[in-house]
Amino acid sequence: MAKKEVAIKKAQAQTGTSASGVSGVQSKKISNSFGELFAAISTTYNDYSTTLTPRLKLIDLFLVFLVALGVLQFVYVILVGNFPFNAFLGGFISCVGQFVLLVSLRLQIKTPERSFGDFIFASLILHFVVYHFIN
Amino acid sequence: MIRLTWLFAVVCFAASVLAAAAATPDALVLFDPQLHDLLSQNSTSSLSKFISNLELQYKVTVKSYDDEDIKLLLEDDLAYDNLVLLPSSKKAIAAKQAVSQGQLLKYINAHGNVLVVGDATSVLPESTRVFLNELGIYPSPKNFRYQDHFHTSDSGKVALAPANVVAGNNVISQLSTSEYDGGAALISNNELIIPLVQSSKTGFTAGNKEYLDEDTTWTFGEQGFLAVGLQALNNARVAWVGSESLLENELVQWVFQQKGVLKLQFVHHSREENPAVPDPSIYRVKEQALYTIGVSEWVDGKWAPYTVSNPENNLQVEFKMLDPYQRLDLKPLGPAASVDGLDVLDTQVYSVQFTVPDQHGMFTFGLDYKRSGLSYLEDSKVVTVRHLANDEYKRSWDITNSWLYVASAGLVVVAWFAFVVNYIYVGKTNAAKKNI
Repeated sequence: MAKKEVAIKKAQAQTGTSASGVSGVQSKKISNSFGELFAAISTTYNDYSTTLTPRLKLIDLFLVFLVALGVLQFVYVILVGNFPFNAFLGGFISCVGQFVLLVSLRLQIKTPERSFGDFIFASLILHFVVYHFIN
Repeated sequence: MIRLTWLFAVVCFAASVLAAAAATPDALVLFDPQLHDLLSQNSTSSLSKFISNLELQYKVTVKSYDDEDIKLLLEDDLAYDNLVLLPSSKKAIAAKQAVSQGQLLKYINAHGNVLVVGDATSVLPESTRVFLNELGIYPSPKNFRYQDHFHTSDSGKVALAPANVVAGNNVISQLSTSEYDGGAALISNNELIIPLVQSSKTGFTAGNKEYLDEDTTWTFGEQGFLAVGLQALNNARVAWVGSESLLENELVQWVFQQKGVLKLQFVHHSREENPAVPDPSIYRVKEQALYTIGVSEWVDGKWAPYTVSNPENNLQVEFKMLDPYQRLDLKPLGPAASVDGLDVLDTQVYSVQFTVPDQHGMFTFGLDYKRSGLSYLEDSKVVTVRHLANDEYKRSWDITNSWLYVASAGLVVVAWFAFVVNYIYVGKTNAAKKNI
């Protein structure tokens, strides 16, 4: 995480210097700053993919998946109405709960065995409760 | 027809037995010998004809107001089923103890029926007048006469038109007489009162004076009534007529409980899906309920199916918990026997099917039938309405809306399992290479 922030700051600094250096056409300035932005993003991405362990990447992938699924259900409940409200709560809370547990796992990654065991145990309880709540 | 079959099967013994061919009802006629000569055999007055007509159907006893041995009640029972009070020449009568206001009230409380006949030239005994006033009927005093200069017959009396009969009274439908010579009454807003014959707009009641002012008049226009009925909450009936010419047969039959008498033979409710089990004590919300009653009418000395003639008189049932959640017209199903095994179809079956409301609690099937001129029918049956049991709700997969949620919850489990497997696998291969 620290490395990522450093990379962002670096990119911002570059954008600042280049912006102050260029005097003249506005469009050129904007396209230039976009280029800087993309450069910053790609730097960050590269940094992310080279420095993070596959475990962290896997966790992040699952987190993104859970957020997408949660957003999908939220949009659905707004469009269709909350009739089987317990089913909505069950589906949505399973996403949110799994997300929270996953973030906890990510934070405790330095004690892999202990945290992973806790994660599995808590997830099993979560899914058990969700299954019954959804009826 | 299935419903009728079960009706035959379950029509309860609780519904009281078919009214037996009852003994001839009796009637007491009280009169003033100074006004009418009713005791002699050769009297030809209209009241004598009235009494001889009564004698065809009733056991009639004729007594004078001066007779101090009159007894309206024997202890708390009726000495006579019906009582006719004719006009008197004086307010104070000798039998004032026996025919006191209190005795008359006791009499109608014991289901006795009272017919009071007024007159323009004489009075009612004081107790009778006070009794009528207490009910909300205020007959005009002595020598006050109902007049209508716009509706006068050839003989100089007031001419009555069919329009004078109050619509929808269920007691008298038309008048057999067209001439009227008598008093009129004011009535209170007592809701048990049934106005029968009303004054026309141009009619008024006044004393024999040259001029009209508040002391010499009693009624103006449509506030006057020439015949008024009243049905007490115990179905005892009282009527006052302003003149003996209004002693219509229909009216007398009504007062003496021969006309407009209804009887609730049975009341049942059941689940629509299981009508063979009558009167369940518990219903579930949103179930289909079936409510069935049998109503008979007393016609010519026996019970007959009662048919509602006018939509205003429709029978209704309420399904209520404080407020009526349902108030429904009952539809006639057809005649049936009121008691199981009876050959005669003596009752009309009315029924309605409805959905029990989505509200649990203690509900009442309430029948409250109060129509002017007809016996009151009342019944209430209390039942419990329960909510859905735990296993009576739909499962989530039966509801299409929830498929997305079920699928996503399942997907999270699958993804979680894949994540766990991959996490262990990834950890094993890379644990040595990477330091975190």
